[in-house]
Amino acid sequence: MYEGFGEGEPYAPPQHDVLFGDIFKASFMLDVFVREDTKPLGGGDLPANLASKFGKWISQRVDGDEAIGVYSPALTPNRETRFALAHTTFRAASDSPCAILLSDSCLVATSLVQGRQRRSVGGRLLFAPLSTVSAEKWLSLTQQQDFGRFPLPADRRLPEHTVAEMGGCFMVDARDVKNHADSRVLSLGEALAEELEVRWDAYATRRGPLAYGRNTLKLASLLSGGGQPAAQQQAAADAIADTLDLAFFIEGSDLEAVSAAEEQARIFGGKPEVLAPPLTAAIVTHLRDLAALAAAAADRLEAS
Amino acid sequence: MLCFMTGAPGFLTNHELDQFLGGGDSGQRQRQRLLAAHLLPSAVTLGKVRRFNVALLPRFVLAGLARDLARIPHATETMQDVAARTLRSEAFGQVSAAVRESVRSFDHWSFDELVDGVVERAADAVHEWDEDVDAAEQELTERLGISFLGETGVVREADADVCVIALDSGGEEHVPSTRVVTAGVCGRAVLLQRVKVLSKEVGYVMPVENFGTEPGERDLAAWFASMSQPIATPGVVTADETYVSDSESVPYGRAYSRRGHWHGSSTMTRVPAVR
Repeated sequence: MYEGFGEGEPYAPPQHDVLFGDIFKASFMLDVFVREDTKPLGGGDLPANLASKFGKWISQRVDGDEAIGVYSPALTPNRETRFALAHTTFRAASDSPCAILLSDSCLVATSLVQGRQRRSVGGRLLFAPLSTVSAEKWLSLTQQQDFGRFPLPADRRLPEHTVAEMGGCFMVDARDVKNHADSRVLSLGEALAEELEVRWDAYATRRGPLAYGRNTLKLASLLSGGGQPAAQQQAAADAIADTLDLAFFIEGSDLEAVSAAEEQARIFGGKPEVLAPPLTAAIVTHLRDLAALAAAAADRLEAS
Repeated sequence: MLCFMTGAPGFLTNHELDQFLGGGDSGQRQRQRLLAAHLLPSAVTLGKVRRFNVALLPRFVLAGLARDLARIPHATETMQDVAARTLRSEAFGQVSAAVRESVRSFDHWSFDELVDGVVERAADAVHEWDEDVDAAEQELTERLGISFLGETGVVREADADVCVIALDSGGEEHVPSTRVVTAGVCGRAVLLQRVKVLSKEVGYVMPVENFGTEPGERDLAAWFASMSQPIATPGVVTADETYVSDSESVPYGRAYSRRGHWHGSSTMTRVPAVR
C-alpha cells in the first residue's frame, strides 16, 4: 500500500486556492484525445427557436428554450472557438466525469492568479481522468505498482475503487478551471499528495523513488542468481535506494528551500547573509550523510 | 436545412387489414367476418393487379376492427354512408389509379412502396383525398364519438413480436408486430394511428407519406434518426483499455518490505512566495 498511510487523513476539504491533487467533478472534464480522424470543426449553438425544429427533424427531444450545438468539419472552422472533433472515454451519461489536477501548485497559482499580481488567468492545466475498476483490480494496483495507474483510497465522495489514469491525461483551459473551482469534491492530504507526485515522476520521467525502487529490486534479483531476491542481496540493493532517497530529499527539500530564500532576498529584500548560512549548513550535513550512504552502498554491493 | 411535408396515408388495402387482423388466411377470414357483420364498409375493388388482389378502403375503417363499434347505435350504417361518400370523390379516382399503377411494378407486397409510389404518381390527388379522409374522421368523431389521432415517430427497436416507436411528442409506444405495416427498420419515420372506440384504444403503425422530398432525403432523415438512438450505458465508468499499462510485473517480490526515506520533499505542492 502507500508508504505515507497512517500519517494523517488521505483527503482534505478543498482549500480556497486550487492545488496539485485537487479532484474535480464536472460534466466537461472529459479525457479528450486526438486520433487521425480529428478535424477542426465549424458551427455553433443553434438558437432555441430553431433547435426545437431541428431536434424534431433528427428525432431528438429538445426543450423549447434550449439551444443545441451543431458542429461539423463541413462548416468553416472558427479561429476564435477552435473547436475540433476529438475522442473521449465512453462513460454513462449520468456519471459526471471526475479528474485529478496534476499540474504543480506553483504553475496552478500562476495560471489561476492565486496570490499573483499583474497577471491574467491563462494557460492550460493538466488533469488525469478518474475511472473505476473492479475491487480485485483496485487491490492488485495497490500491491503491484503500475506507474500509469494510481488507485485512490476509498472515500464516500468518490465512486468505489477509483483509479487516477495517468495514461489518459488531458488539459483544461485555466479560465474554466478557475470558473469551476467550486466543482472540487476533494483535495489530497499531504502524504497522499506525495504518493501521487512520485507516481507521476515515475510515469512521466521514469525517475524518482518508484523507478529506482523497482530497479534496485531487479538488481537484488540478479545478484541472487535470478528470481526471488535473497535478504542479503536485497539489503545491498536497498542501500543504493537509501542513498538515492537522500539525494531525492536534498533536491526536493534543501534546494527548494534555497529557491524560496533567493526569492525572499530578490523580491522582498531579505538579507542573503542571514538567509544562506542555515541552508548551507543543512546541505553540508545532508551531503556528508549522502557520501556516507553512498560509500556504504558501494561496500555492500561489492561484498554481495 | 431540409424540410419534410409528411402525412398519414388516407387509404389502406385489404392486405393491410388482413395484417392488422393477425395476418395470413386467419386475418383474411377475420376480415370477411367483419365485412359480413357490416363492421367494415364495402371496399373499392381494383381486381387482380399482377398476382395481387387489391381492394381499397379509407383509413378510418380501422374503427371497424374494434368489435365495440357494433355497440354504438347506428355506427355501422354511419360508417357505410361516410365511407361510400368518401370513395366517390374525383380525388379518390386518381388515387386508386395510382395504386393500380404502383402495384404493377411489385414483385412482393410492400405498403411502404405502395405509399411512395402513389404519392409519386398523384401527389395532388393524395393530398386532396387525405383532406377528405380527415374530414370524414372528424364527422365520425362528432357523430359516433370515435376518435382518430395520428402521431409521427421513428422505429426505435423492432423484432418479430414487438415494434418500439419513439414518438416525436415524447415517450415510446410498444406495438405488436401484427399491427405494423411498415418495414421495422430502426430509424424509419412512421405514423402511429390511434383509434379509440368507446373506451378501447388501439394503435396501428404505418408508413408516412412524404411530399416534396428529393431522392435520398428520407434516407438522410433516417440516418439522423439512427444517430439519435440511445446508447447502451455500462453501470460504471470503465477505464479505456487502450491505455498502455505499465504494470511490468516481475515474478518475484522483496524479501522484506522497505520504507523509503524521501518523504517531506514534495515539490509539486509547494507554492513559492507572492510575485
